[in-house]
Amino acid sequence: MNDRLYKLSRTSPESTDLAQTAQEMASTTRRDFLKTLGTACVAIAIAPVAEKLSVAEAAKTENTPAERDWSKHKWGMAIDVEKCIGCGHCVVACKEENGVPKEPFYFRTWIERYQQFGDETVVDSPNGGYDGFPPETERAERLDKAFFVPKLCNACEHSPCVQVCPVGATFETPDGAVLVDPDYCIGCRYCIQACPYGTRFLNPITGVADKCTLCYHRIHNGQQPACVENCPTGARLFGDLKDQDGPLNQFLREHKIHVLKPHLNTYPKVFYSGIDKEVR
Amino acid sequence: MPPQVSRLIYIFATIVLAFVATRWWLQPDSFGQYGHYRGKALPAAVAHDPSYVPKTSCADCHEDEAAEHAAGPHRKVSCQICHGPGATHIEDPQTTNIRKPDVAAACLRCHEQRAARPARFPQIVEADHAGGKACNSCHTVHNPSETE
Ligand code: SF4
Ligand code: SF4
Repeated sequence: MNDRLYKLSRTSPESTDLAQTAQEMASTTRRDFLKTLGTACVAIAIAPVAEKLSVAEAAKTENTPAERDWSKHKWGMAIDVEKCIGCGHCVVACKEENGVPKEPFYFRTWIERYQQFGDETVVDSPNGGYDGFPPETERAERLDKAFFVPKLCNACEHSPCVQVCPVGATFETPDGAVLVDPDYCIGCRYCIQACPYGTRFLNPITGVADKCTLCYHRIHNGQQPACVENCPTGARLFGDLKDQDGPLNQFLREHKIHVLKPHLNTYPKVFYSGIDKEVR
Repeated sequence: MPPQVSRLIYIFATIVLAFVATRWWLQPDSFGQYGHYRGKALPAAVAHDPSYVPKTSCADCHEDEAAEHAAGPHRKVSCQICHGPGATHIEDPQTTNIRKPDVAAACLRCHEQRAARPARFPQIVEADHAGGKACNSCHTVHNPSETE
């Protein structure tokens, strides 16, 4: 292009002007482009810093996050195994409330059925109990004992999942729930390996680790977790361990309590009453 | 100071400075507010609305059903167990955005006999109990202790 203009410039004075203008135009655009590029680079480098500074400013002036006292409570749950009828309404409610994928291997809570035949214990959980349980036809006449056990994240006080997270995306809240920060989880699956209760999964939609949050969005808005509210028999009891006279502490006083895998020293805050030695 | 020593000190200082700067740059701003995590994750975790509404909300409009339900053995059983989550229905009451349960399946899900159910929980063997008749041909749905 410039070459052609240069040739033209040798033929007529008029075209010389034209060529100069064109060259000027070309060079100014290039300079402008380089300038813009430089500015953009600097801006990209500075943006997070500026954001940090402005956030720090904002934090000084207004006290975000919205005046909540995150350490006022210590949440826990008690499960009365002798009341559970294995209807699976809790599993349905949990999936509906929390958008848990419907495929049969993603659960924040699920129901296990224990059947004892003499020395042998058979555990099944068809679709986690989402559709209820089929009859115990097989060897039913030899069945010694059977019961249902609802499972969920045990909200461990010393949680292995929190300890292994390399980026601090899994954490225990000041009020005792164990949550995943979806914006910082890198999907490395360490926590899924670390949880001794198998309560975590990698959410195929978000690509990050997912688990029971004790319905954190509900309990902080004065409601019960979805599984608790939708249990027809009251087998699940949610409450505040700091409330000495509250229903949860009362339940813990009045019943013989067991936690799952106590030998692992995870100190669960999900307490089971009426559980058998087979349950892990 | 001999140059070989000061050179080492410079290199070391540069590395430390680079580490501190990178860390400051990469760390989310509310990190460490409550512990070894991003403090902002807490308000984010409570920010979305529940899909199951409070148990008492249904009675605001459906007074008759609620009264019937409250008089029966299912008085503690939430409406949304059978009818599904009610948040969208409360915002815009339509018959299409609330579940109309299949009565037989809804009853039997809890009351069909299973060995693993607690013995004192009322259970039936459907074939013997009704011989295939629909539950609501004898029982009122919202207060099933009453039979028609
Ligand atoms: S049960 Fe598993 S996911 Fe829940 S706190 Fe304990 S280790 Fe973490
Ligand atoms: S809703 Fe209650 S009774 Fe039904 S399976 Fe869940 S815990 Fe058991």
